[in-house]
Amino acid sequence: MIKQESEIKLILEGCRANDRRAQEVLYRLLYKFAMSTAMRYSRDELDAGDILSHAFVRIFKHIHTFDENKGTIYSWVKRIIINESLDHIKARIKFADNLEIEAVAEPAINNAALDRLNASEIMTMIQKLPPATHAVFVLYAVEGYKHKEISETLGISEGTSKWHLSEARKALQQKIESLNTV
Amino acid sequence: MSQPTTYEQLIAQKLHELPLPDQADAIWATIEHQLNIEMPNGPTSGSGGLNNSNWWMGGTLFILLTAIIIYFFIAKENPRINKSLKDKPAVFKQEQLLPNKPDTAILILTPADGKIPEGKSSTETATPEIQEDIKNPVNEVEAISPLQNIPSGPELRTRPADTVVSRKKPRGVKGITDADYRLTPSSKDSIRPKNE
Repeated sequence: MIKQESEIKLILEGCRANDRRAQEVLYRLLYKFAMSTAMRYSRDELDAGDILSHAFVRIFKHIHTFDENKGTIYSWVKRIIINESLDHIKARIKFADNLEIEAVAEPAINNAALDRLNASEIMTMIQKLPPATHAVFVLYAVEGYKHKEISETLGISEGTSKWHLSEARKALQQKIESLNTV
Repeated sequence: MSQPTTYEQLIAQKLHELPLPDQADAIWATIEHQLNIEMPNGPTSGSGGLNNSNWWMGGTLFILLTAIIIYFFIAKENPRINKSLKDKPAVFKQEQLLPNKPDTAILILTPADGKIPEGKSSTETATPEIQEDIKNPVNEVEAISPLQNIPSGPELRTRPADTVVSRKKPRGVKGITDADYRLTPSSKDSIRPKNE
């Protein structure tokens, strides 16, 4: 791990000097991690590739602002990829901010039924959600963001964020039930 | 609503196992292209790119190779260069390796007293040694061993050195000579002295 950190430091120095080889090494080092993150917010693989290419150009352009004392390269890169993904979604749709939710009962989802699905099937279900609902669900359920953080990131109210999460849960419950009944 | 549910945690866990598309090379090509537009002043211009010193080395190597190729092309197209290189040393060796004696042709023309007696040829007036040389000049030359090392290619045997006479290409219309173009006065009045 120590060796890896020293190697990453050398790679980052090369990236700061705009060395293409160092940039390629960093990209390939982070590819799986970055692609995994981009896939959660994208509609398909092509969309994920588009997000990734834009995100890495942004990473290399702003690599001099990365401070190793404040966090790891992984958390910094992840943040940039998420921002790029949300920008992609925002370019397609406008986040409505007039949606409020009253206290409603949580939809019950059978964990055993969910467990029978593989990762690709679950990802397909999430990708079929409306873009804004999709983004809020991933930010909340997968990335662990709070509604306050989501509202600040997407420029919406906390109530709207909660509404999207509730909509995502209901839609997923229906899809999982329908898959298990087939 | 304030905490992720257990099934959401399960979904998050499963999404980490998601198989990833193998687009690393294609995406990098896009990134590199975009970086070359937006950040072109890097020390290298690509994964297999060349920096300034490599450009100089590559350029020098290219010029050197081009010069070698041109030299061989010219040498092949103009065999006179090769021929003269092969012929000259052979002639030089032959002259050097001959015995250090006066030229027989000169001795024949200039006998000791400078007069050739009547009824005798010029060769008969030469000394016996010279006469022997005249009788067997080829044997003596062939007896010199270094000559055997001379390459015996067909060019050396058949082609005489620089004996090609260039023929001048005839000019003008056939049947009309240079004399036809010469201007001559129709009468000799113009060249007659004035006082006549």
